[in-house]
Amino acid sequence: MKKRLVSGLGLVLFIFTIGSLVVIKNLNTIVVNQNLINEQDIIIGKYNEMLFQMKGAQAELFRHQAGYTRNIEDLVNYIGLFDENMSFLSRQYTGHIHDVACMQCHTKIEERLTSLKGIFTEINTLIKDYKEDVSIMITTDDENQMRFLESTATQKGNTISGHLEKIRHAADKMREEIKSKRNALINRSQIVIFSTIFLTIVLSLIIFIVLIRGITGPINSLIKGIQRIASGDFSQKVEFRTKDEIGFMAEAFNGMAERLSTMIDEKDRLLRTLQGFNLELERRVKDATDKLRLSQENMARAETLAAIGTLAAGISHEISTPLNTITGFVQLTLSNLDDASTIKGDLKVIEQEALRCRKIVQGLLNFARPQKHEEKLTQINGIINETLSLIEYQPSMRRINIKRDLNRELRPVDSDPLQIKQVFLNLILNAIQAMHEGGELKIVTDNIDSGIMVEVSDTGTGIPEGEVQKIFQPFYTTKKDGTGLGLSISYGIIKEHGGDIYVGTSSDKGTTFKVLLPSQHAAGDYNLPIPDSFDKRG
Amino acid sequence: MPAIKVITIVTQITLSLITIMLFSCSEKPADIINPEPKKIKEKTLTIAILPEQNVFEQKKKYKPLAEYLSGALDVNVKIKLLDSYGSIYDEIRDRTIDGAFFGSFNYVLIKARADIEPLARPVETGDISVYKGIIFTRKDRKIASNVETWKGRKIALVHEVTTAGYVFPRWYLKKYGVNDFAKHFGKIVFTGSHDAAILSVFKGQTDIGAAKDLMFRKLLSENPAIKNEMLILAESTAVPSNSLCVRSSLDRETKEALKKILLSLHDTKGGNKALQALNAIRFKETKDSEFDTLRVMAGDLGIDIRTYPFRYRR
Repeated sequence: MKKRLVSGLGLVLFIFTIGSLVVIKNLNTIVVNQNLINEQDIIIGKYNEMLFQMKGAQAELFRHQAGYTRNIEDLVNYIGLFDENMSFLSRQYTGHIHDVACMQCHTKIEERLTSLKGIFTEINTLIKDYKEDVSIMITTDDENQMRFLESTATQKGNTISGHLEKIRHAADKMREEIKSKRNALINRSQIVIFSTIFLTIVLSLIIFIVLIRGITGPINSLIKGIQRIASGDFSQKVEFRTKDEIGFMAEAFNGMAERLSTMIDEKDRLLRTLQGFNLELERRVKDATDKLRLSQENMARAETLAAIGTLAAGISHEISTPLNTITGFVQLTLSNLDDASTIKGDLKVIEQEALRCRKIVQGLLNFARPQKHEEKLTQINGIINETLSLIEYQPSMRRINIKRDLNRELRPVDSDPLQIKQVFLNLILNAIQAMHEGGELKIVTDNIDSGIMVEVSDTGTGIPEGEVQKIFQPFYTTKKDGTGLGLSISYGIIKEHGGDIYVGTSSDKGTTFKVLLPSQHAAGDYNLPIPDSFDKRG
Repeated sequence: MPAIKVITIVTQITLSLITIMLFSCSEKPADIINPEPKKIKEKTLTIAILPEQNVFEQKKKYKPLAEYLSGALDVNVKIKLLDSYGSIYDEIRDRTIDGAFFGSFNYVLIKARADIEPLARPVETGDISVYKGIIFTRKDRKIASNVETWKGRKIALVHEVTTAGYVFPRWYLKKYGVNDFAKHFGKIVFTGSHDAAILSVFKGQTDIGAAKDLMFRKLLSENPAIKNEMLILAESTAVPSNSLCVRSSLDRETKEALKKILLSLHDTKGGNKALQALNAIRFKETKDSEFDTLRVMAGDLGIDIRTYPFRYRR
């Protein structure tokens, strides 16, 4: 901006200076011409004086020769003054050959001055001869010489006068020419002065209009850009073509808008990430909540089971005695009856039902009061193999394919081998019973972070959705001759070992029980991970 | 900055520049010469100059001296050109002049009849304060120094009251046995000035000439063409060059002051300028006894300086 202002001002001043210089030059030329005119006036005056002096000298000479006077003072003075004027004119013309030539019509003036120089030389020669002639003439005693010199001196004097008249006329002509040129220059200078002033004003106005447009245009563009950005449109940029302050400002503004746009994009990206985090957090909170709810349900169920167990133990204790009495008396009665007795069959039924009841009571007691728990480091793979060897020759196993996937490096765990065997036996039997039409029994063992994992899977019909929550409750069974205590007891054993048990089921894939056991445990000081695919736990 | 303010500032600057330019354009008018008015002096001292050379050159030569003396003496010193050697006696007698630069023989003649005092004379470059009379010819005239070869020739003399231009040639011829000077030559022309006599020979108007050696050499140095053509035949003994002599009746103070100024001319700037015009380096005192040689020469020729007639033209 500053540069443009300075350039504009500089241009105006330049134009003004050029105009002024032209005017000054013309004024100088006018002054020079006027000086030349003044000089010509003086020169013409000098010519007149010289003519007068020469004619005066001629007259004095005549007077002297005629014997009217012996005084030669006036004659000598006339010629002396003539000489002085001649010297003055010679100096004047010689001195002006160069400086006049450059200001006036060069060739013509020089030509004229050269011509004048020739005439001056001739006059100088003539006057020199004239002085010699006169000098001799006024002192000589020779009459003939005197007459001769008188004649030649007069002739030379006349010639000099003729030359003087000629150059006076030329000088007069030159003065008129210079005067005409001076007048023409005055007129031209007036035109130049007015033109310069007019041009300076007009150009100044044009330059300043252009400058103001150049200043306000980019500023307006900048303001529009600011307004667009203020309205949230960061894509627009301020257009600029100059490299001045406005250009720098627009460039900085565009840079600022670009950075602002980048920052907003970054903000949006962070916001989206934050939303993702929120969703993930919500999901995790939901999962945690679900697990917590599951744990609470388990705890409630465990408390229920514990209460049921206590209740069952009390009832069983109270019932077992009368049952033993009933069984004893039935068996005693039967032993006293003949085979043909008609009540013998009924007594048999009573005996069987009583035995069944006693079995149930025994189960309840086992559930409520677990058997003696003796833990030692146990190889679970061995327990599984022993269990499988107990059942693999049963008729129901003919259509079952047993698949073992046992980790050879499975860590031993602290457990009661008999109780653990009972758990796996229950699970395996349940699996076999679920596969009436045959299928595959798959047993997998593996190490996990804090213990081991055992999966017992079948390809049976699975457990109905609504029943899964009830399978670990005592007396819940889907089998005609089941007591509904197997899974409850298994659950109790695993819990006693500090482990956990989960179930996964579907109608098309069958059911999988997953048992987790810690390597070492003390009651309540460990926390086994819940497997992802097992969302239901006993 | 508002546009109107910018335009205002620029307009002010432009107007200031226009004003400066207009004033700076004024040409200084031609100087008007206003010479100092000359002081009006009551007394006038007129010094005459003999026409021993071109009268115009004489005037020019003595003008600076007159100007200097005017200032130094505080009187109007006027140079008067005489048209003849002979007229100087009348001017002294009539007291129309107060003094003059006398030629040596002229001084001897007038001293014998009027009361004049020699004061001083210029000493030219080379410490020359005397001159000799010379007799000369053109080389192509085939004239030798033997006076017999001069017989019947046309001789250019200056004036009958000049040593170099009249007395010496007469004395020289008499010395070589020619008693009738006028008859020995075909024609005697009195040119009136030394340079006229020299030019007369150079131009071939005369065969032999007699003039001052100083004038001869000056003319030759100014005109190399003359130098190559001229031949000196004889030279006289030295006599004092033109001396400023004044009327004895002039007041003593003026005479003494004039003499003092002339003798100290070389000590002042203006004086040196006057000396330069005279082609001199200083002035030296002139005594009457210095002209005794000439008086003897005149005696040899039988000239009675008290009755020797001055010749007047017409």
